[in-house]
Amino acid sequence: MKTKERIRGLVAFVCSVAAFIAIVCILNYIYVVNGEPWYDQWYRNLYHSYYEQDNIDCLVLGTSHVHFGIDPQILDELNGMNNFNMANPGQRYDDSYYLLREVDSSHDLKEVLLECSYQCLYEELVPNEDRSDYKYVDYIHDPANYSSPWMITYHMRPSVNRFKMLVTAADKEYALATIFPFVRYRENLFDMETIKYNIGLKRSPEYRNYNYDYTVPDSHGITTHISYPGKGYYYYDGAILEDDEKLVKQNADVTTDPIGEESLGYMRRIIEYCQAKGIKISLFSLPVYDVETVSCGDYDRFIAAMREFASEYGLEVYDFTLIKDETLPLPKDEMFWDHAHMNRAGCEFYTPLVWQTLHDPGSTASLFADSYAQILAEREPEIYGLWYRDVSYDDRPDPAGIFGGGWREYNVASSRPDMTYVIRKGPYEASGEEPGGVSGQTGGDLFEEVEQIAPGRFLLPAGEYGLIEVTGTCGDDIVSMKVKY
Amino acid sequence: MLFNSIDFLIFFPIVLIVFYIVPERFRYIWLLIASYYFYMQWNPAYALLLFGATAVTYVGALILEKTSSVRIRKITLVTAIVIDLGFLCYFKYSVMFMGYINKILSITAHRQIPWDMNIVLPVGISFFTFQALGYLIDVYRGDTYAEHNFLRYALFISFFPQLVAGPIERSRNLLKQLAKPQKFSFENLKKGLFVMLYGFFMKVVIADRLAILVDTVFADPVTWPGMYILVASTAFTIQIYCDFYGYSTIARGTALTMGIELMDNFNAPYFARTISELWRRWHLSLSTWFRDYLYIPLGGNRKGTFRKYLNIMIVFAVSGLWHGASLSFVIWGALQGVFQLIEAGVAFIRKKLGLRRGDGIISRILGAIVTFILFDISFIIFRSNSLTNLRVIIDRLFGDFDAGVLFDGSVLNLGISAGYMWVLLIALIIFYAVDVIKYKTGDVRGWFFKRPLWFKCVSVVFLLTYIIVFGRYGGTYDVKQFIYFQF
Repeated sequence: MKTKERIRGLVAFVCSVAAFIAIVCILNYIYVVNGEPWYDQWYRNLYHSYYEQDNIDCLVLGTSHVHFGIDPQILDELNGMNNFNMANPGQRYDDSYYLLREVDSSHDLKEVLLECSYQCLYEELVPNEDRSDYKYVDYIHDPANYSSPWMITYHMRPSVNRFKMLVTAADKEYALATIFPFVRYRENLFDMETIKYNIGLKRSPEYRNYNYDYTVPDSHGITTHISYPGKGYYYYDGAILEDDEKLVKQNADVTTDPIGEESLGYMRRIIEYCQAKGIKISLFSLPVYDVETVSCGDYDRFIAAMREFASEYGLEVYDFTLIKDETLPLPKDEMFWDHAHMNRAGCEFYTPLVWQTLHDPGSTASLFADSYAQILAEREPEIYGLWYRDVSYDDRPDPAGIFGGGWREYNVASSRPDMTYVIRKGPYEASGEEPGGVSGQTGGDLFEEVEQIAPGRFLLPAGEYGLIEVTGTCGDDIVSMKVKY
Repeated sequence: MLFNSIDFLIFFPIVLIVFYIVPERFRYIWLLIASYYFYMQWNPAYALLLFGATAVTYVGALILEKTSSVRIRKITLVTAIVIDLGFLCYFKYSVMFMGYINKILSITAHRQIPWDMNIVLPVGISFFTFQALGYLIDVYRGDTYAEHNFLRYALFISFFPQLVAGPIERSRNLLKQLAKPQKFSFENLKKGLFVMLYGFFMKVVIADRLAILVDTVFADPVTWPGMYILVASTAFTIQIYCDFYGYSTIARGTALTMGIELMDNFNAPYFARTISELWRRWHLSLSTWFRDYLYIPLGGNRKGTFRKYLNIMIVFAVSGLWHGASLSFVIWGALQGVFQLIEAGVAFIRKKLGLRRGDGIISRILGAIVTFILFDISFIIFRSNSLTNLRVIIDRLFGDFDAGVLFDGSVLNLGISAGYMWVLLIALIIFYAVDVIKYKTGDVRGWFFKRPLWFKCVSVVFLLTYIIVFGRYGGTYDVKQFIYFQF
């Protein structure tokens, strides 16, 4: 009798666990789509194609800059190996470390190309506990960056490295979101439109067959094409960046922000792991469009820090931001589909150049400038756009609390530190044209001059939007740009 | 360390596993270590205070046991009570009293006594002080023995499930259980985990969701019309019940997994037909503490009707003060006494007129509704925190009252979406159904574990899913402290 009861109890327990798992799976199916469908599928397709690979000889690790910037199929032709690009958007160095170990556990890796990314290395400012101010945290511990390991692990098969990546994915307060993926999307719990969309997407033959081919119109109505040719690389034939979209949020200030010790520690572990295993490792950085590079502060400082770090391991860092302008086959902004990511033209230029430089540095040495400051100095006076950061100033009333749309500090990014500016703001429609173009008149009286707190620097409420017109004067040269904000 | 924090969800399994691994005779030592670690997560320095309160009453009890001299026994009792209450008064009430004294001094003598007005209240001080004093008085009365094992006694005072918000345990119940080695029982483990699950349901699904609405209105009552304040105060009346009952339930479940049975703190209070009945169902460990150690020593109902109601007024005013160092809490407590006076008056008149109190379902429901409304009104005072706020709230309540907001969707402006309103409604239906069972049977746990296996399994999976899907938790949410921690 007692044995019978125990068996019943055990069966009931197993059934309960199975029911709970089934519920979690259903909820995951309904809710887990990370933002835009193409973004979610980056991960899904990447890991699907990863598990289909024969032996991977060369692994590329990094962020979305590399994701769009290095095509492994071009590398295949150049080096005769099987190359795979396992760079993901905002990929943290701890993720790169565990992914390296994961790949190495089932492949005979011979070479690793590791991106040195300022974006994922410097500490970030996040709200402090009582949300009265900001504090620095390692990139790994900024909740905004938890999505990287969450998304990667969601599409990985069970393994020890996947488990380790999950354990370090997020701070303990987010444990349930780490364990149950649908919890990350609870803001959509009652959003029937999103639920219908997600279910429709997941039932579509394209999704189920891992077909990835989107045609996306940008804000100017220009159709761009994004597809997944395989091996982790994403193809974007991309619209050329328009002037009015040259506005970026500052990712890192390499002049003042500290380098995150934990992220740097994982970089060390990657290098040490490769060196211990006899895997050749090369360090490099890909360029971004100049508005982003200028927003980082003294970019040469970052290059110097990386070179010093690499030298501890007898390595070199090759930063392709230093490629001289005359080497480029196109104007720089035509090689990007946004301020940080290369389009197909950029990828086709940089992929072979990266490989050649990493394996025969002498052959490309003449293509590099000594510093980013030198590159800027050799250019004509030029405005690249605006960058901003959210700030709190004690001496100014905060329109809606610093995290509810407080002050936003805008800065002009240009090639000349001594440029002086006249900055005016107005409604977007005041450009005299319909949305889709801003090259016309500014609408005269609708624009007003903005007070600058330093040359090229000004404050506007974070919730405000419109059009900024910047006119820069440097000697006899006058340059201007209009940017949506 | 909050029960609804991930720290506790890591801490608890470790404590439980080690508890059953270590030999039975050492388990209480492990629990003592775990309890002090638990307490020190708030402020390590205040563990000294906990230790001090423990040491004073431990030594006091030993002296009381050893000596038969009435004088020495009285001196010992009074000294220990004064020291323990001294700690409590300093940390909890000195700021309030010095504030009043300085106000008077500044008017009369144009001077003030310097005082640190930023004293941080040690969490749970009101609970463990009362528990220690209850033990001491019991020893004095000869109702219990003096515990000779200091570590075991220290565990009785600091037992982590009930340390910071009760139930305020009696030595007759808890100390005796701690003295017996606890054997592993799968039944206790199963029952304890389920009880904890239901406690989490009350806390993170109901109380913390209602807190959004309540906090929105009470944060700035001057901007909200009267109907919103009424809605918020009703929500608060339910929130505080689910919050405190949720805590007590998690505490009971936690203790039960280790084979220790804590007292039940609530017994369907919102089905009470009178305020006096409500107080026999609400925060039972405190109510019975006041009954045994204040009301009865004051004379209880043995010295005539006037003294009885005077004693009730005293007990409830002190109870209000126990809840918080503010005049509004004293008024809230006194109001409970006033309600009972009125009830007695009504009962007297009814008796004189020869009217009998109905015992049908309608009568019961009406009685429960009236009692709930009275309790709700008193909670407006409780939640207002200060007399200034209270004035504002009363002005708003009677100044701008539009019942239409209940039906035009305006309530959704209070931070809870329509979807979550449904989630709350379903949760409240379940919660009240469980309370009905408790009201009828007195033992909802016993009732539940007699149900068929499939019912229990479905309940567990449902509660777990409901908590994970709809609960308020995690880094993106402002994890609410348990309301009673502040007392």
